[in-house]
Amino acid sequence: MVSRRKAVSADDLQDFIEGRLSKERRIEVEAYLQSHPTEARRVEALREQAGRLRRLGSEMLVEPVPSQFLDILKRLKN
Amino acid sequence: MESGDDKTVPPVALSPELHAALIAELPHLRRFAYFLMRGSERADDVAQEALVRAVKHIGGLRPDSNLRAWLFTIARNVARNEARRQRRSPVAPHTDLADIHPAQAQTQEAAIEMRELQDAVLRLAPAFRQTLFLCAIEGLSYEDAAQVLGVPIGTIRSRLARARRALEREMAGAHHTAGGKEQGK
Repeated sequence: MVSRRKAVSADDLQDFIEGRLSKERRIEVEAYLQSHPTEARRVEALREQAGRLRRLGSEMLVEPVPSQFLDILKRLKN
Repeated sequence: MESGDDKTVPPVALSPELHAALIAELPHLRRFAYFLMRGSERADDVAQEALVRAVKHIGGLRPDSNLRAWLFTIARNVARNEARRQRRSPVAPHTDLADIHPAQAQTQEAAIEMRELQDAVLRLAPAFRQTLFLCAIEGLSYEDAAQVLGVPIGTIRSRLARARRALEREMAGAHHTAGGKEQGK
């Protein structure tokens, strides 16, 4: 089948997993995956993993920062 | 980066904006150090040393630079020096320091899975662990990650793909084996 669109590449699939595609390109990749079920399953598993990874260590971002760090900056505050 | 002499170079005063920007970066810096040092109790020391160096060299920061990427580059250098020192007197990495916040996982099973995933990430070899952290956890662009790690973007992409596949195998294996095992590169 001849497609007007650019072929979906390995980089596209990686960007899709990472959530880094433009909305337009994401729709094209989703269409591609609909006709490639094996790849779609693999990609979906990695997307789930990507979602969990994004949450990893998020508790550290809301922990209070030890005072020693603030002291380092305080000394030089203008 | 040039190293200054503390005795002769007067400390640069931080503008309120830069001071605030650096404060906002501290949790990210600490978290990166944690992943760099595999949860070792030295992680905060590495983060503090990186901050001291950053403040010392703040004059060299270009206005258009990504502050986080710049801080992370410094932290990586500090961690690398620390790792060299640790090889002479090894300190066992701690992987049970951080508790998974209950709010993150809706069920006990999910909490356990996040715990296993974190352990698996910490077991990855440094190049893969750092690439995965920067891109998949911290969400840096490939360009910024490439800059922090000093490698081409193509290397970032291939490491990322391999790291994800390694994690997949680890997580699949975790359901069949009793304990974790060290994975190769």
